[in-house]
Amino acid sequence: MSQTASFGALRFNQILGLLPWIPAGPVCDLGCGSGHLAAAMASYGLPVTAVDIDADALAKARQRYGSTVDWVHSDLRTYRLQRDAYAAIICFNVFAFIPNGERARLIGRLKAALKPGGLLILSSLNEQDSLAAEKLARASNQITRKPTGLLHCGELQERLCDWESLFYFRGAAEVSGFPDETLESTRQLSQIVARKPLDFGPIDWPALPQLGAGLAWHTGLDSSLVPTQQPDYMEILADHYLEPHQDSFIAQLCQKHPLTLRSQNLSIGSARRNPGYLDALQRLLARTNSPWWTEQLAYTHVEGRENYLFHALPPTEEALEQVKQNLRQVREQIPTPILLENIIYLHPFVQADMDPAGFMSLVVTEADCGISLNLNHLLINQQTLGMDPYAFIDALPAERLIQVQWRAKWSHPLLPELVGVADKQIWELISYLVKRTAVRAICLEYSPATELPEILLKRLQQARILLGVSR
Amino acid sequence: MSLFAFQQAWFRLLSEPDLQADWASGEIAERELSASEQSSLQAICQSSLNWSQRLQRHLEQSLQDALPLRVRLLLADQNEPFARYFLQSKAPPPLFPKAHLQRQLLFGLLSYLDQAQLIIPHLRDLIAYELALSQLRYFGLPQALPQTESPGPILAPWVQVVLLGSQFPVVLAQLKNRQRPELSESKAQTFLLIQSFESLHLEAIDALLGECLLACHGSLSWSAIVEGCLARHAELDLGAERRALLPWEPHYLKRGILSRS
Repeated sequence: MSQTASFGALRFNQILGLLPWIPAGPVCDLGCGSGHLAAAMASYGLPVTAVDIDADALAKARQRYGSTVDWVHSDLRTYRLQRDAYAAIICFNVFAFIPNGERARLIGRLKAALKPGGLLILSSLNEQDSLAAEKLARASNQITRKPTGLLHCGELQERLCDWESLFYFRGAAEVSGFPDETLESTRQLSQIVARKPLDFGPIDWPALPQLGAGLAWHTGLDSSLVPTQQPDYMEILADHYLEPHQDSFIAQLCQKHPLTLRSQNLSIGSARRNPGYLDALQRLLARTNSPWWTEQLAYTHVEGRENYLFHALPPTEEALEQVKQNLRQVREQIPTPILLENIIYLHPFVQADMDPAGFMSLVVTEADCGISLNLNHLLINQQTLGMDPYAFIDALPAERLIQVQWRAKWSHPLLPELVGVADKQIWELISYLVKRTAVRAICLEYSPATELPEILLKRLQQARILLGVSR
Repeated sequence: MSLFAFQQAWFRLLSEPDLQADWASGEIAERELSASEQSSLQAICQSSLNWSQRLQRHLEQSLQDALPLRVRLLLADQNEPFARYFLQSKAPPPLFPKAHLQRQLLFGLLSYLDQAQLIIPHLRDLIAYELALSQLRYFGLPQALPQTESPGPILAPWVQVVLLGSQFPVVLAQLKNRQRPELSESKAQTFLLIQSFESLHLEAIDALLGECLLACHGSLSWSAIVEGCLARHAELDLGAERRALLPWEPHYLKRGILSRS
């Protein structure tokens, strides 16, 4: 944890600026007061519960902001917080009203209530606020609660020393909201924004959810175009939504469909990769609660060169070690399971150490990944290189085959002549897969510009029947 | 190192068609490649001579797609020539971060307009606007570091000062509806481009005030910034202008557009 404090206290704008780093899940504003922050978080798309002991303040907040927030009248010391449930808990300028002896237990409860990756945002007066006791004692004549709590200097850092500290401040700052003579005054504050450590335990592959028949939407998504008979889940292209200004849209989408992500720029096979991409991806994965994410077992760039296409790795021992090393780095940062997608081989590798299926099989077992089997790629490899798709499937570890992907109308930029595979051949392959593997999801890629929704709906229904799931 | 060398060689092969014939015949060899990788590449060359052209088209399309839609609308039939010009002048930049790629494309577009001596009404304003937009950072983790305290005000990262035509907001609204603007270009006006929590908007301000705001990096006090700005404009009535500029600091501090560390 960083031991140096910022010179600037958190301002309202900065708290709003924090919102993209809150993962998916409910948010609790304890001691919400006027409800400004709770309402702003709700308008960002977060499900917010706002708790305060002041019934009048709550009534005003409810009247002003309506029911977008769940307003709860309660003493936060007795308010029930579920364990590992919240994506963020905000407790601003409240500890002053909690007796010193009760604060440790309360902070412990707040820590337990957050889910891994969740944010705890705390701020209150500290013991350097020399007039606080006197002012609060005077104010206590006007309210029923006894405001006697002042944070010790360094207390927040100590209590959260095992968490990642994103921000810490101790010093003088202008604040409002304390029972004081003036509306705004300079006070001595301690503030912290800390993240609960993520859970990086081994992946329980059989426990992954059975998602059903999904729709992959790889262009910019307009939700009005999603067919009314909804898919069981949606796969979106992460690269369209990495910027925080897209978060409200993603939050709305999450409320309608379970989401999975597909990334395009990880370049897991690159000997040297772009920095920064993984951070942005991690943030979006946390925001979407995606049970897994997909990336091609390929490379899209090497240092200084880029051509926006996926390229197959030579199936060699060296490439295997490189991919495993890259995947280890990914796993150290992102606990969400990654599914690797099989790639098109534009050409045969003359002296490889193993065949492509054997290469993929070793990568997923040794680097603890799953597989998203792209049927288009499988069948193009059959056409160009004579790879037997059934033999390819049989060579893969059945328990790691989690998702199947297919797009009816599709071509590769370098192989435009290879288009169109008969539906019958596809469904036979899917049927074969479902019987022999742990497939939990069939993802149909859809382009509203070229396909009628009715055809898509038929395919979705057929996929559900094969998977044995019903809506 | 060998895998890295192979990947570099493969990308080079795709992007430089002239190399393919030499490579296929074994006339050139990459010293860092193993014999198996070398023979793989030679085998590929024999069947991949037409891939370069297809890749070129793919790259051109990808770069066009990466330009903001509004810019594409104004560029119209110049989209393809620009993409070709960009690819000839430099290697395609990484797709991520998207804002970085867009900035590279927009700077490239300015060079293209100069070089081709093209005049497309409102396009330069639009490029200035898109560049300012790509600089805005409303969302971000609060800055705990660096720890140096500075005496002067700092312009918030969610605000940009940008010089546009005075009618640009109207042009922007038309472009939003995918209409090509029919207005003629108007005289320059300084704007604040403000990305607040709820909206993005342009706010017209006085040019001198814009100059002062641009100088707000924390090292100088507001009054020193005003003095410096007025010193650069000998034609102004210093007393009146100073009186007009000084009260803006508390106004912008209150709005959070300026902050102090």
